[in-house]
Amino acid sequence: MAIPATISESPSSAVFDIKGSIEDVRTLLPEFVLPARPNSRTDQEGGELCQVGPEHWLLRARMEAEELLAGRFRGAADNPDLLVLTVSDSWSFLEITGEGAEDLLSSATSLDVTATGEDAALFTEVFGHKALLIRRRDGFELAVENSLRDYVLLRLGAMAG
Amino acid sequence: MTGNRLDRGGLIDRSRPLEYRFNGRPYRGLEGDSLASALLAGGEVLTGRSFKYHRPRGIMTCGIDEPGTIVELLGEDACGNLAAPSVSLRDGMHARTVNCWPSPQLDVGAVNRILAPLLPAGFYYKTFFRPGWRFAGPLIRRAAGLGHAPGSPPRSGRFETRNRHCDVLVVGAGPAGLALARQVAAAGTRVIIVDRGMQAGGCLLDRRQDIDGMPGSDWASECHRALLENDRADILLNSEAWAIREHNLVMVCERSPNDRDVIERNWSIRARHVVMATGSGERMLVFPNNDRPGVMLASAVQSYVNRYAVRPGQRAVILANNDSAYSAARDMQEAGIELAAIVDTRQQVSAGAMTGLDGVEVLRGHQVNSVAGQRRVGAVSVGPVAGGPSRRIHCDLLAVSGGWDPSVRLWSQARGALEYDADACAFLPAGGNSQITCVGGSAGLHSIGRALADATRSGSRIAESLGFAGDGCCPQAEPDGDYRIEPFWCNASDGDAGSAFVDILNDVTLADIRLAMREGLSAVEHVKRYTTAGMGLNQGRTIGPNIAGLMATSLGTSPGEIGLTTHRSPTSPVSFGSIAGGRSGPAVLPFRHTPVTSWNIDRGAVMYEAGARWRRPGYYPGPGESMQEAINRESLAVRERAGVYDGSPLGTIALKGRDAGRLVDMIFTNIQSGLAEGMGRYGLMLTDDGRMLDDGVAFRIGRHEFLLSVSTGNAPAVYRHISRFLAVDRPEWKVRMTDLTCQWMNATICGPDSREVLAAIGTDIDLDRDAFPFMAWREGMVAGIPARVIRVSFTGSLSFEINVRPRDLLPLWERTMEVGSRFGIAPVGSEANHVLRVEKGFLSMGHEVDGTVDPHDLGFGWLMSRKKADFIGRRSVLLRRQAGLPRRELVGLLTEDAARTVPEGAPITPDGRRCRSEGFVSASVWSVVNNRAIALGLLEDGRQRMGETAWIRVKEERVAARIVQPCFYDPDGRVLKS
Repeated sequence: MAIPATISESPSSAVFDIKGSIEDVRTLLPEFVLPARPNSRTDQEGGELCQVGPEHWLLRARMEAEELLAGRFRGAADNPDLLVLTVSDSWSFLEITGEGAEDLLSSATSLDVTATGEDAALFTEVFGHKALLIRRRDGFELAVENSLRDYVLLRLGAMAG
Repeated sequence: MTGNRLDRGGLIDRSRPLEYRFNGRPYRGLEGDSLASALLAGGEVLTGRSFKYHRPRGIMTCGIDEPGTIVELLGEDACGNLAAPSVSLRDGMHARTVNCWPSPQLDVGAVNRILAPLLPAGFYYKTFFRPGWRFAGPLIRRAAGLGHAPGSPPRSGRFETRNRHCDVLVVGAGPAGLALARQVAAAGTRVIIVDRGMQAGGCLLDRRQDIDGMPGSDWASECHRALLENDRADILLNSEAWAIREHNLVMVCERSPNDRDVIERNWSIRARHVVMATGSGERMLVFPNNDRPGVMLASAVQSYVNRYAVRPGQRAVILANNDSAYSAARDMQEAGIELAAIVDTRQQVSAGAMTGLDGVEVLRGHQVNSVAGQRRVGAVSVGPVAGGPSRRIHCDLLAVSGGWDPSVRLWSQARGALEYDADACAFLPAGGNSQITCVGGSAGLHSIGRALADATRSGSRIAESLGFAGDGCCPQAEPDGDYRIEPFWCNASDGDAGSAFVDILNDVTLADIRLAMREGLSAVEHVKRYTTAGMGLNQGRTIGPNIAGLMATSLGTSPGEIGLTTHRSPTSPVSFGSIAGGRSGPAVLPFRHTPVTSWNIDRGAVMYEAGARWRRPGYYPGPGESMQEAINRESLAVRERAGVYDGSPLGTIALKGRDAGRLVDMIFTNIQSGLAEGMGRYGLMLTDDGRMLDDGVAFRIGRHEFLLSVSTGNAPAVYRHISRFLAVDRPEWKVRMTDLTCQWMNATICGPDSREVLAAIGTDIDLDRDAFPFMAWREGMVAGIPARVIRVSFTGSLSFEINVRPRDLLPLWERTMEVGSRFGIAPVGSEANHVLRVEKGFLSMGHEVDGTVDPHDLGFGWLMSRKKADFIGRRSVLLRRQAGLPRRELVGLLTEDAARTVPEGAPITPDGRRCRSEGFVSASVWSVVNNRAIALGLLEDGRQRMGETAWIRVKEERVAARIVQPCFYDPDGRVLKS
C-alpha cells in the first residue's frame, strides 16, 4: 500500500443546505447549538450542523429523518430571506481514515489539512472540484458532488494503492 | 590507485561495486558515484557529441549544468536528456549518449562540421522562406533534439503530486541553507529544506572546509540529523525546486522518494517565507576550442577529486580570472595531479591565493590561445593577454574558472530584481522582498564563513517576522580566503571565433554572437532567440554574464546595461509524469456520472464527454449497426414514436430572495419577473461585453423564488457569472443562490407518443394540453416517485422532462423503458439529440454560440427587451449594433447534392475562393425526416441572402449550398406545443 489510509463510503444521510441570517437559522433550528465560527461544526442529537460560510449552513442528519425535517422546513418557504433546500442526493460522503489520511488528502487538496481544527468543516477543492472537508477523530470525511464520486474514488484509490 | 580512482577519500563506498553499461559497453563504478564520476574513474574522456556540429565532447561539470555529456537511460528507468553528472549510478544501469551514431568515438553526424560555415546562427530564419520551410522543417526537426522520449510508460511505479505547507521553505541544503534551516526549526517554525543532491551539504561535499571544528561534510550530516530529529522540520533530498509561483508557491520535484512505488513526486509547497540558499555556479571562459574533451570547470575537477575520489587527468593547466581556482589547484595537487601551470588573466594575484602552491608556475596576465587535441586535450597554447609570443604546454586536463554567478533563477522567477556588481563581475539579487530571502552564495557571498554569518542573521530576522524567537548561534568556519575577480569575456579573434564556444550545450559560438550583433540585435533577449544561447537543458548555467559582457564590449557599455535574459520555469527539466501525477489512464480527465451511467454502459452505449465533464451516451448501437444507422434510428423514434434521454447534466440553479425577480431580469435579456407561478420562459444570457453566455429557462417556483435550467456545458460558468454579479455589482441585493444540478436528475421523454408513455408509466399530474401547457412545470408522482415534470423541448418534439432525486432516477428510467417498449421507445444519445436540435434550428453552445455572436446574429433580437431599463450586456450590444458593420448571422444551409454532408467548422468563402471566409458551418447532420443533409451556419449578412448560394470550402473542393431559414422541422411549432 502506497499510503496507509482507508477509503470508504459513508451511509447516505439527509442533508439540507441553509442560507440565511444567523437569526433566521436560530429560529429555524431552535434546538441546535450553532457553530461558534464559520468553517466549523457542532454535533448534537438531531444531527451535525456545519457553518460553511458567513450565512451558509449544512445540516446533516440520519436519512430516516429526511422527510420529517423537510416537512418542518417547508415553513421557511414563506421567509424570502431564508433558503432551505434538500440536497441529500447532491453529495457523496467518503471517509478517509488511517495514519496516512493526511498524506492522502495532501495529494487531493491544496488546503493545509494539518492546520484544521478538530471541529473543522469547510469547503475546499479536491482534485480541482468543490468538496466539503470535515475533520474526524480518526481521519477525515469528504463530501463531493455525487456525479464526481466515481472519479474521486478512482483518484484516491490510485494514491492509496 | 586503480585507474583514475584514488585509494583514499571521497564520499563513495569502495565496498559496494556497481555494474553498469554505457553505450553498450560494461563498466564498473561504486556506490555513491554519479554516472559522470564513474566514467571518469573508468578513464572515459570522450563521452558525448555536440548538438549541432557533433564535435567531440567530454564531461565538463559535476552537476545539472553539464553541457558536454547528455545521456538517456534505457530499460526500466528509461528517460531522455539527462546530464551525466546528475545521474546517480545504480547497479544494472544502461545509459547511452544522445545525439550521436553509432558512438561518440565514431559519429556519422560529425559531417556537420564540414557544413558549419553554412549553418550560422539563425540560418533557418533566413534560408527557408516558404515554401522551402515546408520541406526543410520536418528534416531539421528530425535532426534536431537530443534523446528520445521513452516509448512506453514505466512498467512499475507511479508518479504522484502532493501539497505541503510550511512556515519556512529553504531551497538548497548547502552551508547557508542548513545553518538557517536548523536555526529556524529550533525556533519552532515548520521548516522544509529541499536540495537536488542525494546528500545534504552542497559545496561542502566538494571542498575541504572545516566548520565548528569538523570537516564540512560531517557538519552537514550533523545538521541533517538535527533536522530529522525535529518533528517540525523535513528535508527533501534528490529534489529540484523548479518553479516559484505567486504567493510563495514553490514547485518541487522529488525523484525516487523513499517509497518504492513512487518514481517521482511533485510537491506544491506553500511557504510563509522562502529562503533561496541555492548557492552559486562557476562559469566557463570563452577561448578557441574551449569545448575539447578534457576541458573542465575547475570546481568540477575539485568536486571529482574530493567527493568521488576521481582524478580526471594526470597533468593539468588551470585557466582563471579569479582566486577560487587556486583552492581547486591545491586539492588537485593533493590528489596527485601534476600542475603544469596556472594561467591567470589578471596581472595581480593575491599572496593568500598562492598559499600552498609553492613551486607551481603562475603565468600572470596570460590567456589560453588554443587547445590542441581532437579527442582529448593534448596541449594548450598560452600567451600574454596584451599580445606576444605563445607557448605550448602539454597537459591532458584544462581546468577553467571564469568566476562565480549566484544561482538566482528562482529569485528572478519571483520577480526579484538583479543588479550587475562590477566587483563580483556577476548579477546579484537586489531590492527587497519581505517574503523571500537570498542567503549565502545566492546572495553573492563566496566565503563560507560570511555565508554562515549571513544565514544566521537572516534566520533570526525571518523567525521573528513569523512570530518566533530569533536567536541563533553562528557556526564557525575556517577562513577560506578572499575572492577577487577581473572580467575576461573572450580572447578569440575573428578567425577562430567559430571554435570559441559561448554556449557549449547549444553549440553557440562567439562568431554567432558577433553575427547577431552585426545583424543589429542589441537586446540580450533578441540575441538569445537568434542564437539559442542560454536555452535548452541547462538554461545557460555555465554562461553567466558572458553574453552581456561580450555585448557590452561591442556596444561600449556595461554588462549591467545589457542585463540577463528572463528566467522561466522550469529551472531544469521536469518529467511530464511528475507534473501529471495521478492524472493518467482512466483518470486523465475528470468525469461525472449520472445514476444511469452503468445502465447505459451495460446496454453498449458509446460514452463520451458532453460538457462540464459529464460522461454521456453518444449513441446506442444495435447489433451490426453503424454509428449513423444508430443515430438515424434514434432520431426517427423521437419524430415518429417516443424516445427517452438522460438530461441529468442540465444545470439547475435555485434563486430566492426579495430581489430574485430583479436578478432574473438583469441576467436574462427578456422579462422573467412577470412569470406566473408554475410557468417558465426561455431566455438568453449575455456577458458584460454583449455576447451570448448561455440560453436557458427560468421557472417561477414561488413569489420570491425561481429555478433556472441552463445548458450542461455552461452551467458552472453561469453559476460563476451570477455569483460574481451578486458579489461585485449588486452586493446590496438580497438573493440566495444554490446549485441543484446534482440534486435533480431527469429522464426526458420526447416524441408524439410521449404523453401516452408518461400516462402509462403512471402519474397523478393532469397531462392534458390545456392543463399542462408548453413551458409549464408541475409537481406530482410519476411511477410512485415524487417528481417535477417540465414541458420544455430541446428536440422540437413534444417532451416531458421528469425531474427526480438521483436515488430515484434508475427506477424511473427502468420503468420508462419497460412501459415505453409498448410504444417502441428508444434510448436516445447526444448524437441524435444534436440531429434533432439542428432540424429545429435550436442553438447549441460551442456551435452557433461560439463566443462572438449576440442575440441579433442568431435571429433572437425579439428576445432583447425594450421595456427593461437595463440587463447585462445590453449596452455593449447596442454600441456594437450602432457601428452598422456586417455581422455573421445564423442561416440554414442545404447542399445542392442532398446526399452531401459537409464537415462542421468548414469555412464559407465568396464563390468558394481561397480567401478570407465570410462564415462557417456551425452544425451539419443527416436528417432522416428530411431524407437529406442539412446544416446550420453563421454567414455575413446571412438573413439578407435567403435563396442565394453559399460556397463551402472542403479542402481544395467547393460545395454549393442554398441559404435557407434555419429551421427544417415544424417551423410553426405545432408539434412542439401539441
